[in-house]
Amino acid sequence: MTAQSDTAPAGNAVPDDNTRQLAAAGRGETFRHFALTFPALLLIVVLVFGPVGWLFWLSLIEDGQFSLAHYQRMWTAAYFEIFSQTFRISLLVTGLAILVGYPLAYLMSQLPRRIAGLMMICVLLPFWTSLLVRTYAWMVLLQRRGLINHALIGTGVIERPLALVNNLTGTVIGMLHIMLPFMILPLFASLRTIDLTYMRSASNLGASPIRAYWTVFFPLSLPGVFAGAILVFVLCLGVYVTPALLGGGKVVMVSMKIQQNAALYFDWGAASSLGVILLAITVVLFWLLSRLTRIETMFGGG
Amino acid sequence: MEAELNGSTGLSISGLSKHYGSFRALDAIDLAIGAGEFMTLLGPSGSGKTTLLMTIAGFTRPTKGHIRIAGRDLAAVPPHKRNFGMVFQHYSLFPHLNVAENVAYPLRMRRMSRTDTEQRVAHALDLVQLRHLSDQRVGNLSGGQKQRIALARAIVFEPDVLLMDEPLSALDKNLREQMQFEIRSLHDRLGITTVYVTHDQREALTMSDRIAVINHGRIAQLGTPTDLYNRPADSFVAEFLGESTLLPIERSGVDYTLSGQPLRHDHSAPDARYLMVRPEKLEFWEPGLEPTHNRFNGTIEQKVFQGDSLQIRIRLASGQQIVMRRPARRTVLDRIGEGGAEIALALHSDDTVLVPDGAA
Repeated sequence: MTAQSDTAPAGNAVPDDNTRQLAAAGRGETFRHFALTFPALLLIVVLVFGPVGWLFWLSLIEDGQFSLAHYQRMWTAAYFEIFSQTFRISLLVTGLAILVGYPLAYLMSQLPRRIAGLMMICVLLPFWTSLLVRTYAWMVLLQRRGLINHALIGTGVIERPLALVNNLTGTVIGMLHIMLPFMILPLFASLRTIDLTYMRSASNLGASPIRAYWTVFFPLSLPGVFAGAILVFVLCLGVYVTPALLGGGKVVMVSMKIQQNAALYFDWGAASSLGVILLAITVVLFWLLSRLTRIETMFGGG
Repeated sequence: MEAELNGSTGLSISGLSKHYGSFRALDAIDLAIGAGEFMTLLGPSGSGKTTLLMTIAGFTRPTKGHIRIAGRDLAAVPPHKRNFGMVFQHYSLFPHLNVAENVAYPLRMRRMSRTDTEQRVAHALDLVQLRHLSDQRVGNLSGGQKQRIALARAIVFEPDVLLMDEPLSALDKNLREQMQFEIRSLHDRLGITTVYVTHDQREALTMSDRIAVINHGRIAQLGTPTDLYNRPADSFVAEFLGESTLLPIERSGVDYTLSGQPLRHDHSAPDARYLMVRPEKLEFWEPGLEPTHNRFNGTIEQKVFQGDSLQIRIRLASGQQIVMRRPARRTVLDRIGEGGAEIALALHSDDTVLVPDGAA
């Protein structure tokens, strides 16, 4: 206060005090910026929260009465098997997607930007054809007298055709094909950001290229692997067309049970309750994903 | 640790070239770095100094030439088998490891026992006075701390040579100056052969035993900081290192003249084209200076107060401009007239440096 009185007479301090106006101006500005998001926010509330709330509500209604019957019904071995199979298949496809996708993403991340871009187009190309067409294409390729069995028998690798479709194998192959881009895209983006000076540094400090990879590059790439894995896993949980067509009725996933309940038995409550359980699991997994991406940003801070 | 490092070996580079198509990033470099010497590679950007360092480290494969240490040629040896420590421009600490794990990394790669590793890491962290940060994540460190940790990691495995690539360029000025002295004193304690790259001439002068000024992929001059500053080999080095005014001179018989005025100089200078004047070497003319000094007459054009010193721009009678620097002291201020005032300057014959033309 004494310092102020050197420059301005004490009497001027009160009329000159514009703290309040400046604070109000600041609040107004924040509100106007925030207001820009209102249309999008409204859309999300109407199109996302509305239906989800409705779904949740339906799952609690049985014969017009409030009831937990739909959830109680799921507490049986049959449903356990369906959920367990859904998770096993999703886990298997996720694991295979990592094994197949990682080397490709790694190669792309190390190539010049232009060539990597071309490879990316190849990865994304299947996206532009219909999911149904791709699934039927796999049926043609994998069936008993299909291209693959034909080629294998023709070259003498096998004598009798392999059962590649209408079972778990066919389902997993088809799903892996569909899911691969969802693994490669986030993984590639993550690998691309790893500064190669780290590898030089490791090499300078005495690490052979292989040890440098395992001790430096690989640990730094893990957040990208997690991101891709959770994305693929969550998408796998909801896949319907592929297991329905390539599973030959031997593979029953949650999505198929939902379809059955809704289209065959018109039991919207049962279908909804399955949807709610699946959604709950998905939410937990995305929460885990967000935790892991926070680790990623922490890494980036180095 | 210190005793072992004192036996540090020198590095000998001969005929080292790196060509990119027709561009010669390094053009037959010969450089002998003594055991325990602090050698700085100084040059403008694109001069080849970083290429030279990266070639020594093994990240850039030379087109031809040799890098020898204790008689062994390393030119074709991969970086992880060279046993050189390196501090990178942006530190390059591993973000997934904590401070102690970063420093232990080179020991881990050498499969050193756990107890030895712990001991060495603690000692290296003590050297940079950051042992208390052992368990910190590297992301939480300040720039100066990262720099010290990177230094600890580069010396913990007792490398034959320590390489540093503009390690202080990301730090602010005060911290940079402090780190210059810290790195230099650490070097003096460990006696480790060091190759240091910078584009900051002041940093080079402050830290080095010898400086190699690099330009166009060649060594323009090699010498001690004093040599380089006081006796630059050509006009490029004169301008690049420190402040200087270059005045074109003429040859008359065996001697040189500046606008017809014969120049008194102590050092032989074949093919000289310029008189190099360092601003702080100019004095006020006094009677009796005739036998040892050159005299220049001119008028004051401009005076610039720069805190510790006064920069005075003077137009010589011949029309050329010259810059003088004097401490901003009462006695000096009293002697300097206003703009347009006449002034007589003295330059000692030992400070009268004549240099040939150097390709910029």
